Amino acid sequence: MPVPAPPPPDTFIRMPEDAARHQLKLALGRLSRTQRHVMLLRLRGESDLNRIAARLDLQPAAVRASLAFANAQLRMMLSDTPQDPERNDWLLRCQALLMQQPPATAATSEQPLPDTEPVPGTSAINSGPEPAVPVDMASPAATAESSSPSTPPDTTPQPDRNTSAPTERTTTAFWLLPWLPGAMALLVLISLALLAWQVLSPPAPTATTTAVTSPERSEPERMPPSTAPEAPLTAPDFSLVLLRQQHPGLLEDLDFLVWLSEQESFQ
Amino acid sequence: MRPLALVLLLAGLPGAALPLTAQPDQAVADPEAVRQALVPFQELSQRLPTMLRERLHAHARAWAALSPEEQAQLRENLSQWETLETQHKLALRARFDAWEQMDPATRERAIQTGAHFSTLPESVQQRWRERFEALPEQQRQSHLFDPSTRAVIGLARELFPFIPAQDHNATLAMLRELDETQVAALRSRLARLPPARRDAFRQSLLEMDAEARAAELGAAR
Repeated sequence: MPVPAPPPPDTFIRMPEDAARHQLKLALGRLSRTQRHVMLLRLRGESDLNRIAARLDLQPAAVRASLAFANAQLRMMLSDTPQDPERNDWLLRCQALLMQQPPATAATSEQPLPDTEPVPGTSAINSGPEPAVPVDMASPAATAESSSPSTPPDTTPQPDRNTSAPTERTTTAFWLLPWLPGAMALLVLISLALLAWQVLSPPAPTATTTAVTSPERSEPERMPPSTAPEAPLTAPDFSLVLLRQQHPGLLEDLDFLVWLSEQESFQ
Repeated sequence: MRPLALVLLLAGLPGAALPLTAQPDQAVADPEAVRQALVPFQELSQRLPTMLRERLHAHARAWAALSPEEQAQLRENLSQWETLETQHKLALRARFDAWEQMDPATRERAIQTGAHFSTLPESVQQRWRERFEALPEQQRQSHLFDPSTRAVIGLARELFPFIPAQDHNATLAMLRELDETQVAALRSRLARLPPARRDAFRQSLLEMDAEARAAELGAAR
């Protein structure tokens, strides 16, 4: 399945309402059911994650993760500048589109998501104080029915709708692909940060003294660095380096000098 | 663990198993300065094997005998040592190993000869070096040992055509302890043995203590 390229600049923000709504439906259709419901609730103004979690019978952490993922995915597909998380004009457009849902589409929204069973708490969304908004507007089947019910699926210009909807797992894995390099880079950065922290963290000032005076110490002790006062005594080549310092060139010429000292003509 | 690291570092010295009398020039160090130098290792040195503990103390004595300027220079040289190429360090360690095995008289002669040699004119120095370079490689390398060691090496080559590397030092030490009568007895005993059993006999001699070895070679006469 080819990875869709980000939209050209100013498409979703400036495109006509019908086209934008269609684009939003496609984008929401890329999300998993949970991500889609969480995102819809958020777009409709629900800001309390705990309430969203209660409505969808999810853990708040799962809601937070789903929301972050869905938000990032929609930004990649709908924002003019996908790499700019600060820009939220696409998000405002999404909210506006959802609030201006036409009655005809709203009527179809009363049906549960065709690709999934109804989500607990989903009906409460439509019966709440907020205006009735199609929860399943992103459903590929519903989109096909509402936009062109007589058009055969093979001739529609949105081939991904029919392939991504049946297996949510495939869709999720598909959308994970663009995030893999970022996730790997994040893991590497975390590992490097941990290593740097271990290397750069200063040793306890009394480490040497403690090591000497407390035999019951159980934590590993570090060898003092070469600049520590006691380090030269433990250097493995201490005597060698000292000999070279006291008699430069002696080791290099050792065999020659021993031979020379035995030559009578040299004496 | 720090004690383990200390053991590994000290034991990493090629000449770690060699007698500690062969340290570089050790001026008489102030006992108090030696004690101060050993303070960070007071607890650890008690847990070290005797050989490593003595080596650590020898380092402390050598360190305490240095002036502050020499200590600073030694720190600098130790840092520079770490920057040398591995092959260069290995070659120097091999030579230091030979140096530590030399008898004091040979070492003293080598030092004095080096001091005198450095005062000679460049052309004279060059002639002596050319004479030495003209010697066969094996003969040049033999002068990394003192005369008595060279004699023992020659004897070992004569008696045992092949000695495994791990047995070199022990075999040389054993041969060095033998007197002329015992050497003659060993030569006679080996001559009566088939070549395939000579190395086994060498191994058995190594496993004996000095008295048992003397008795064995005495019985062989």
